[in-house]
Amino acid sequence: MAVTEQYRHAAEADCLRTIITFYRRLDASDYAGVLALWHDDGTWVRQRLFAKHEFMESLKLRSPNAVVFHVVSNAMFEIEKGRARFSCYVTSIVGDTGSPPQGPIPPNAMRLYLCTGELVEQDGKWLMFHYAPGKPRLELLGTGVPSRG
Amino acid sequence: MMADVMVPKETQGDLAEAGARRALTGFYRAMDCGDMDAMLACCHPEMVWERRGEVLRGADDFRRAQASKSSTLLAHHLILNFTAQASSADRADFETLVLAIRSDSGEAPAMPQSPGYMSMHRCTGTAICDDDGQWRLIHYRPETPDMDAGTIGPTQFFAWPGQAG
Repeated sequence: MAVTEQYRHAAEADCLRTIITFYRRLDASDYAGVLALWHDDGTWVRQRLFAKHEFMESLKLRSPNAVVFHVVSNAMFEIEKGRARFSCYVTSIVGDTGSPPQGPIPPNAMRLYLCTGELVEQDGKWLMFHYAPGKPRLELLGTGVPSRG
Repeated sequence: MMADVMVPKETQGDLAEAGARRALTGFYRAMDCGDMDAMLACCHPEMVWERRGEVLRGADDFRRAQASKSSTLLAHHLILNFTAQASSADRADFETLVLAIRSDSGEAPAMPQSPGYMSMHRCTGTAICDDDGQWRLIHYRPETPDMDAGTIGPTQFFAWPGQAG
C-alpha cells in the first residue's frame, strides 16, 4: 500500500531507532530489553532460525566477559503501511580477554555484516519481526579471537 | 516534486534530509554490490561527480570510472555523521563522512574477506527530488582522504593508541 512521504519519513526514523536501540541493549547485555523490542511472532537468525521464546536461552550463551559494540550504518528501508523491510551495514567490534573487563580492553575482532530484516508496527510502535545478520563480509581478527557477538 | 500536500516548512527540511540520505545510501549500496544500473538510478542524468581530481558527467563517464576498478575489489562505504540542509522543498546540500574499507585478494571475493585498506573521506554533495518523487544525487564530491590507514592488518588495527581523540 502506498504511503505518504510524511509516513515514510516517520516510519524510517522510528524503525532506525528500534534497530539502534536493539543493538544498544544487546551491547549492554540487557536481554529483557532486547526482547521487549520484538513482536511475539518474531524470528531471528543466530546460527539457525530462532523463535522469540528461544531468544533468551540463546542470548545467555554469549560470553559474559565480551565487550561488544555494534555500529549501525547505511540503513535502507522499504516502507509499507504497518510493515518495513530494511537492510543495513553493521560493524561489530569485539574485545574479550576471557575475564571480566576492568576498564577499557583492546579489541580483538572486527567484522562487517550486511544485515536484512523486517519490522512491523503495533500499537504505534515499530517492533522487530525478522532479523538475519548474514555472514560477515569483512573480518579482521586479532589474537584471542572471541566468538561472534 | 513533493508539493502534493501542504507540508510544514520544518518538516520539509526533515523530508529533504531523509531524501538526500536515501539517495547517497542507495548510491553506495549499489556501488558496493557492483550494481551499476541501481547506482545510476540514484543519480540525476545531469549529475556531476568530482572524483579523484576528475570531473565525471553522466552515465557514460560513471560506467567508465567503475569499469576501471579491479574486478576483484570488495569495497564497503560506511556513511557516518550525515547532515543535510534543504535550500528548498526539493533540493538539499549535504555533508558526510565516508569510511571506505576495501579489500582485494586478486581473486573473486569469498566472504569474509580481510579488510586491506581503510580511508576516511569528507564528502559534500547535493540531491534533488525529481518529478517522480525520488531523490537523486546531482552533485557529489568526495574529498581526498584526510585520514588514510593505508594497508591494514591485525598488527595495525589492533595496535590502538592509548588515548582517546
